[in-house]
Amino acid sequence: MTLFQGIALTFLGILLLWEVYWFLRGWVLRGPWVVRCLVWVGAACAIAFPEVAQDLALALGITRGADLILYVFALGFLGVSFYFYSRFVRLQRQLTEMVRHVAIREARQGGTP
Amino acid sequence: MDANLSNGRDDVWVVVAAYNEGRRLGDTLEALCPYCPNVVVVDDGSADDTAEAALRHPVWVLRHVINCGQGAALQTGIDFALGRGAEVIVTFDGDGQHDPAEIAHVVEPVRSGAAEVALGSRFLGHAVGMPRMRWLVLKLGVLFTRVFSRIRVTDTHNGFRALSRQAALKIRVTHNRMAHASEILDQVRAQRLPFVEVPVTIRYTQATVAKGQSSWNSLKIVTELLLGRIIR
Repeated sequence: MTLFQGIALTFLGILLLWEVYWFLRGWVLRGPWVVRCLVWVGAACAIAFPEVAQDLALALGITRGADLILYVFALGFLGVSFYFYSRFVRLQRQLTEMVRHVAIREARQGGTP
Repeated sequence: MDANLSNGRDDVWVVVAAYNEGRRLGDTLEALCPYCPNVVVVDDGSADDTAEAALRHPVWVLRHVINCGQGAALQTGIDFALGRGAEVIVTFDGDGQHDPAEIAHVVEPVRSGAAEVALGSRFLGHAVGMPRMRWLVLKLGVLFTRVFSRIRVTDTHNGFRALSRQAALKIRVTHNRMAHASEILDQVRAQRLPFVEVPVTIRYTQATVAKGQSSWNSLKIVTELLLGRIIR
């Protein structure tokens, strides 16, 4: 095991333990929790067994395992960006409705010039 | 046709969205109020005295506690006007670019039932002092709208328009910022609302050009619209 593998796997192990801790305390949303755990486990596997990523890349017609990881990151980034943008838009609409509600409730009538 | 709508026509409401217009709004309202008794000014979270300037005139003043954008402000004004029983709603810019004497012309097709929506067009009417770059950007906007929204209009980003009550109830502006004008056209087409274009006059001044949208903003509008198609 290389030094990098040691550091990265330790870090990912702590993250996984952290997730388990919050899960046991019951303070997690199950969907996002599963996704996060899969990401940590997937990253750990790719670091611990680089040949797995290489084999998978070859099976998918991609020459290098590093390229496969890069593509996965690029797709993941796009997906996460869209997810957060849609969350932002929804939140903005809700905020606007609230601002609108207050504005209409507190309408004032001006006087003559 | 009587240009002054105050003669018994109190179901026409004019919605003015204003952001940091304290210096110009007074003149706009002074010119506007004689033509329409029902004016609602939506101060979109201005940092200046826009609301106070509006309150010196016989208008309703609504205030967004934070800046949400012109589209959001117009929808707020439209909701308020609908709640007050408006039968025709006119949207009007607060910076003095529009001529209040033309309100009657814009309202007439909606009032007569010829259309549910009347869209002001500076290219059918007059655009006084329009910079060339603005002309080019607006023409590209027209082209984009014809392709993207599949609606044949000559002016896509004109804030001077009239909506019947039915149209106002059907159209819901969700794009808070400048893309709302294109969104309204999108919804006019999607809801199959009968519309007409009415020639109007837009007067550009140095101040309105400086405060108006930059040409780069048009790219932002296009991006917002495209993303809006993907993300609901």
